[in-house]
Amino acid sequence: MLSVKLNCQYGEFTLQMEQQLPSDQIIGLFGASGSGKSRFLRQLIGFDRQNNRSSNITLNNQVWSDSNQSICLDPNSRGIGYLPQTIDLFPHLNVLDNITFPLTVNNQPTTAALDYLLEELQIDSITKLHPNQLSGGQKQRVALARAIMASRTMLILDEPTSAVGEEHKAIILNIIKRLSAEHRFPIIVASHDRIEHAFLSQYLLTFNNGRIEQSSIYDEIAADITGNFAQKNDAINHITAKVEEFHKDVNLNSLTTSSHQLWAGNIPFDQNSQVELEVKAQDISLCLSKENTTSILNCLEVSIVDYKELSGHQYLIKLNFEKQNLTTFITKKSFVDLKLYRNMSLFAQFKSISVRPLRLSNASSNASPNKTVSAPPDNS
Amino acid sequence: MSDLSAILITLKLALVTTSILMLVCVPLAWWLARPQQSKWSQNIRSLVEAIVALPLVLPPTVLGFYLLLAFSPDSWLGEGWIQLTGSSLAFSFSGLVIGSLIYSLPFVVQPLQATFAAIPLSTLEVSRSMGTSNWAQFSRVIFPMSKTGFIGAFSLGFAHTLGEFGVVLMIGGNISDQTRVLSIAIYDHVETLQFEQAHQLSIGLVIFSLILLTLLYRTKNNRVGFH
Repeated sequence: MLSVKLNCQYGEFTLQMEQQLPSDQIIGLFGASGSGKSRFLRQLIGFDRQNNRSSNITLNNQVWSDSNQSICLDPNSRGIGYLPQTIDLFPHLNVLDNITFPLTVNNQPTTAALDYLLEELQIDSITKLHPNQLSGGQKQRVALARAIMASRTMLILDEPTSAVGEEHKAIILNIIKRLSAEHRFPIIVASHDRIEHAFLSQYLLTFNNGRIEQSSIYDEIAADITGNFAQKNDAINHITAKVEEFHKDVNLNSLTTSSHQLWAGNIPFDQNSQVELEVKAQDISLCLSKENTTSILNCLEVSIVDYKELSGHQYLIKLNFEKQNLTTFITKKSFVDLKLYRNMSLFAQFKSISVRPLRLSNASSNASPNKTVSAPPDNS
Repeated sequence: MSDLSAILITLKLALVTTSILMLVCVPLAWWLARPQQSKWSQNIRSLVEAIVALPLVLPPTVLGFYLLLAFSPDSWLGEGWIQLTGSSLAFSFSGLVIGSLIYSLPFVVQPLQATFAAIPLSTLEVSRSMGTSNWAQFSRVIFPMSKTGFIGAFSLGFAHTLGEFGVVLMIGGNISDQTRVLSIAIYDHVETLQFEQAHQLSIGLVIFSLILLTLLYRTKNNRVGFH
């Protein structure tokens, strides 16, 4: 458990929060620029002490700060790996020395996993270059590797893909996901890219003017279109499915979930691979009976978990599908005509063209599951 | 013969002065280069910066005059020094060193301050978060990132002390083998119309300074893999 209670004053800006966060997950931070994400990260690391009115941070019973007892651990003894937005590579060190800097200053040996990390981030061929010879994307990848080497208790990433191109974005996000699965320490990612959160975040905090607006597991916030994260037009559902086969005659893929078959075009994946599909909430319609007389190919058995009336004569309907959450919008007229109620069983339909593979998952097949990258062991 | 001793005394003076200044000025320049939190400490910093820069604008005679007063056995400094060492500060090599320290201070502080100010705070923070102690922070990050500044500060401090004249004349006098430095020796030769000797020393000083400054600017311009 990561418990954070903060009250900090930055000029006119106040950062105030009290949160209990999971310590074994990827925690996403979302919010506009200046909403307090970076300042929250800085507080976790132990910077900006002069701005604290009070600060109580505890990670798994280890007290990092406690204003009541005047405890405040220095940043250099918290064991955090930090990738700042400003990148901040050391200009006098080459790429390799930059990455091993956290090991060198802590007198730790280089791990074999380092080579794999370099290869995975595609920076193994530039280890002898200096930062001023690198592109922006390369710098960010090097800084990420350095942060990973430094992380013993926590990894903090402030906009980790802001400078990298699309192809490396997927690689970086997959590495972050794998690290989380291997180390089970908190990985905190600030980003204003919703897709990035959809791919990474298991838990999400949304910031607004120095306060936490929403704090919950990702799926819940993604489905709550009354908050500032899920916008109505890009509320997206995620469905995990397995690729069954490609039907040449109709140019479509069939996929399976535990009890349904789905149809979609353009799924560039091998047979039997697990894929994450996205379907926009606005593309899902509801139907009381299973229709055979329709051109819509995908039809799922669902039940209504909850509904909420929205402005503009719309209803937000939360559905349960094989224990996954689905969200859809229908008009008030349909809601009344169909006489919907909670726990009602019915069918959700969407066209095959509405099904798309989650854009970022296309590199997942590159990650070899056998090799692992580990951060240096925790000495504390 | 006395010209050779003048050269040696000058080099010794420059080396001792610059070495002491490097030790004193690193923390001072660091403090001047870092952002100050309160209005109050900002004002103090401005005052200290002005004091450091004073020797740049004051005539050396003013500096020398006040130093001479301070070195006299009537003042607390002069008196204390006599009690401590048994000899007077005025017209001594130690006195020259003290004068040169003040006279060359800005030439060492300012390059260091500029180079420290160019180090982004965020870079220091990142290295801090990675577990660096204060010493490691200095030796592994600050020093290597400001190497050019250190070289510049040392060279300028050294070269400037070599060329010192007015202050030395006021407080050092012209005691052969003790306080007679190059610039004074040249002055003497000219006064006594020994142009040949004056010329030898002068051209030597010009060439030496030129080489030193060329080397300095070369290290500045040729740094590979940096900024």
